[in-house]
Amino acid sequence: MNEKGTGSEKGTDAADGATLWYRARPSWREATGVSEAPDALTLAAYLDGSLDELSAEAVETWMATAPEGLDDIQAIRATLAAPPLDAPDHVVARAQAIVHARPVSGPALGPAEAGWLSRIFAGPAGLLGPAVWAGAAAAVLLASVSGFELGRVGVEHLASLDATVAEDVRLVMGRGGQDLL
Amino acid sequence: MSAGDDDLGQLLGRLVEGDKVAWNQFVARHAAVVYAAVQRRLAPFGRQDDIEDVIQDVFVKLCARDYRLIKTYDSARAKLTTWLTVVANSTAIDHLRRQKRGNRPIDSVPEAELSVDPPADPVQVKIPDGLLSPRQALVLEMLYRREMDVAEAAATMGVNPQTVRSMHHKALTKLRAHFQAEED
Repeated sequence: MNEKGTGSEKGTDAADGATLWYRARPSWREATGVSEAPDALTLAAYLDGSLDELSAEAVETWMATAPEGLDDIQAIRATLAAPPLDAPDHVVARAQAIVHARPVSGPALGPAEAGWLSRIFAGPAGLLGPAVWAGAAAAVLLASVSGFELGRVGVEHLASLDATVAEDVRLVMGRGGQDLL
Repeated sequence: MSAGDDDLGQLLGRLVEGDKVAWNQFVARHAAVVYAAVQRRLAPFGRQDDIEDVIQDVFVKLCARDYRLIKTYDSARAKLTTWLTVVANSTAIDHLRRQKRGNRPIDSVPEAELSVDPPADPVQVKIPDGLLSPRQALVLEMLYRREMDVAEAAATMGVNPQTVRSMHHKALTKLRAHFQAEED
């Protein structure tokens, strides 16, 4: 043990302490096992000192048994204690571009317009006869084929506009969400 | 919590509803926290070129699957800056694991990867379950295996140095008594 600030536990006591711990450690670790890493919120709560005693003990078991546990805690504490670093503007802009504005929906049809449309498309008893319905079906078919082609071109255009963000999303999701905590 | 976090609950509520303006505000407000965590984790490994991509990964994670990760955040349990630092830190570690390369400067290798267990005691020692609490074992691990001083150990656990000294003393007293009884 480094002797700084250890009071009476100095010199030979420290060497004695190390010997005792190294004798006991394998047995303690075997009995305790390696616990799983806590989730991000539990770890953050531990770092903020807001965990209850039992949950804090679980985090400390992980720190004592998993080597990366202590490294993580030390690295995060060092980051939290350090002065903030401003992120470059282009980094902020790139992250903001991940989420797109949702398209604005058109206004709902009022009763007057709906009534007018329903009268037109009311089937054989309405204003349009069977021949018109056949024509309408053909038009729908034509519109579907054209729409598909137009849509494909449109998607390719959008993808090229936003290739960087699309690639980011593909990369993360392509890893099957393994990165998600 | 900073002054800008007064409306945090409202901001997060709008954000998970898909409000683009809220997302922009969230990113502008917290990019510095994410940037600091990623930068400090990657720089020692000489991975400065990856910093921007990893920051982007962090924000993609936050909004992926309909903001699933952000929805797990609970302001009653931890500060948002602490939570974001943890998320950014783990994303950077995942990145380093994927990019792991053979030749790394020795200074950049985490302590955990360098430490070597001393030769096993030829005599199999068995200590009773519960003789040491996890907290006491952690103190011994930090002081002896990691060779931290008391102040470092206390800072790592977020406790007073006197608490560490006390736990250290109690743990050694228990071990001494146990081994003494075994020898008798």
